[in-house]
Amino acid sequence: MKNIIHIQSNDMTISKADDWAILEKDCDSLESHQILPMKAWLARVERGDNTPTAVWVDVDDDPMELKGDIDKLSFICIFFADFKDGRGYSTAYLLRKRLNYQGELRAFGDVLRDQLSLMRQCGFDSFAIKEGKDPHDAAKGIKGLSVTYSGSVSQPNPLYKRVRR
Amino acid sequence: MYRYDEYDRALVNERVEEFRDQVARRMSGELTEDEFLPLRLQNGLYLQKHAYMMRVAIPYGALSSDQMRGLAVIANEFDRGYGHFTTRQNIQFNWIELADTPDILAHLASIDMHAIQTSGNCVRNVTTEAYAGVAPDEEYDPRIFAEIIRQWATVNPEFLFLPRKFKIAVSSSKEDRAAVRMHDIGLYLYRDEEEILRFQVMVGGGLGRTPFLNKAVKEDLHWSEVLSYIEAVLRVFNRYGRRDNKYKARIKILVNSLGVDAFREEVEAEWLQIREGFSTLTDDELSRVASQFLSPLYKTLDDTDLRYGNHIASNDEFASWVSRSVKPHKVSGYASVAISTKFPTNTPGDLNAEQMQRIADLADLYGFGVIRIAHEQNVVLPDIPKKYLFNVWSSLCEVGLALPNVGLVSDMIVCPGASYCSLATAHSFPVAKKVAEAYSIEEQLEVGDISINLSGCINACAHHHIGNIGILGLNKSGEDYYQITIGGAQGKDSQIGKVIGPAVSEDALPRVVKNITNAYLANRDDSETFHETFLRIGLEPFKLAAYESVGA
Repeated sequence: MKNIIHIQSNDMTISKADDWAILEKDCDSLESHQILPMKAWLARVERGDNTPTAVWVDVDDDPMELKGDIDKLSFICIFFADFKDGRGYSTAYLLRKRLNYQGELRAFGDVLRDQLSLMRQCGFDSFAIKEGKDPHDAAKGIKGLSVTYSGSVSQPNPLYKRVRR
Repeated sequence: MYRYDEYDRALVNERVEEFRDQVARRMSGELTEDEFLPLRLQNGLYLQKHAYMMRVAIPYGALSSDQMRGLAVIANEFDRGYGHFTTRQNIQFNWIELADTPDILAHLASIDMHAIQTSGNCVRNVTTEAYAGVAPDEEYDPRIFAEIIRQWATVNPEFLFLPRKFKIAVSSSKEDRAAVRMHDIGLYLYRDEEEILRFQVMVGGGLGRTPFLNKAVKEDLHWSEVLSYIEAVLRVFNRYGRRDNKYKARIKILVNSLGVDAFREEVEAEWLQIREGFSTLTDDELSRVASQFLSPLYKTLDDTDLRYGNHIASNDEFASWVSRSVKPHKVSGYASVAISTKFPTNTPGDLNAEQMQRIADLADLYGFGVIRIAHEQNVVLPDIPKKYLFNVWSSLCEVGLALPNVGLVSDMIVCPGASYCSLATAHSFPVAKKVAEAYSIEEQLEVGDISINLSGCINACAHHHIGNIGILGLNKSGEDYYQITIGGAQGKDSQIGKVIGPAVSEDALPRVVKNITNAYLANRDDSETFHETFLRIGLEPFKLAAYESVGA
């Protein structure tokens, strides 16, 4: 995948590309670093094949179907077909909070600078910025506003429980 | 009223700088219009027919005299000297330059205001009623929860790209003056037998091309769980609301396609996972926010004021204004004043800068510096001692704001229509004016309280579906035509109006409306309201009368 921003314990690394590749559909001979569609991965697990540990979740996939198998995964990518479609934010929330997913969570597709801080608050720690955009420029969008009222995945307590107002 | 602390102020200021950067990137071409669009919408900026329009948030319609003066400054410096108040208690400026918007937002921030989420597919301004905190029939001040919900929804990262816009209203009085039933979430706040605050949660209201009143989803929600419940509703909506068709994307469509019971099950299942979690409100937080809405220090006054009584007895014009504009107050000796912004002297919802300044001055002189915007697009001074009502009226007369028509035919709710709006299919203001001018004030008083709502297109910004008489502007081969509905009502007995027949031309409209109110006068029993008469006699008599002596 290209244009990668990765955040690990508050350190940010930016790279032009990494070894991972999105697969459109399942195939017989998986190579390493290939990311299967969630449904295809679930079908493999059903057949007793637990080898790949990376999946991608489409906009209309129900992430709750990964319940029970979530511990087998160390890398999940959530697809944004259009940055104006906000389903991916709830998908991220559910993976992190409901399924307690601890691995890397990446947004890819129509992923743009001005939404990165929102995505990060919803539990994403990695971003494949839309092709054609500069990931160094996009990284300026990670910070966002210093004040958030509501709780979120990255900051579960609402403001009034974090500070004395 | 609510005062910003350092956190509120920091958020608003940082947001201004964030948008300043986004505007610069748009102007340099770095951001495409498609990428910029939701950013500007969530900062209140629409592109209209002639210019950008900026919608500024007035949370639950409450503002201070200084804030009103600040709006007057914006009207003068960045617009053409006026602004337009909306049914959702906000204000719109119609003639805005893109390059000016960061400075306008910075000016707003300096008076503790903003335009965040006044547009876009996110949670919009949380509304209540103009008389919150002073209405005699109120159980609990709805602004307190409106503010708590406002903060929770502001830049809440999960819910900024919903399938469609999302509107929440709160009411806590016997009479619902907040049009709760047409909101995506309508909240009725009440005290149970043990005096515990609870919400009745209504979901799935909205007008537009498929009007629905919302439906009860939860009857007895404990106050501390209101945020987790809203979160559950929004998560279900965000995941399952339709995104393939803009006109089927509101939560009303989801509620009605699933059926309210199945929808409720979805929400309850989600809610069970998050209730008692981080979103649960605490007593401390409720008291902290509530302390911001303490009543002003009222004086002990007699409920009757001799001078006020004398003025009423000796001045017919004043008496007539009092009968329409002066509203009851929970504190003895005080009243609330509704200031009409309507035809024939004004354009519905519009105030010029001088009028804004005058209202701010009156609020400071007589009314603790507080002002409200009403759902009916009028302005309210909520806390005026009765002994000063004559002074207020005299002063309002000087700036053309003493029209004695609140609640009458000419107090129409009207959207800007084709004069400004790029969505509109027909003109609103000029035709509304013709309807208003068809009645003398005496004729209007004879008709009495009535709601007439005129929208310039199917999007129903003037809520024509819930007007006693609703008027919808259409376009028939280049000409403006107006379709009429009857029997709409807002409040606890809300109802969607029914179409009476073929649409009529602009010229015929005043006659048709008058025929309808004449039919009401001919049929009403004693003190029956228009809606009561409609419920008793039905649509037919109105239908028959409406088209008399007009070629439809």
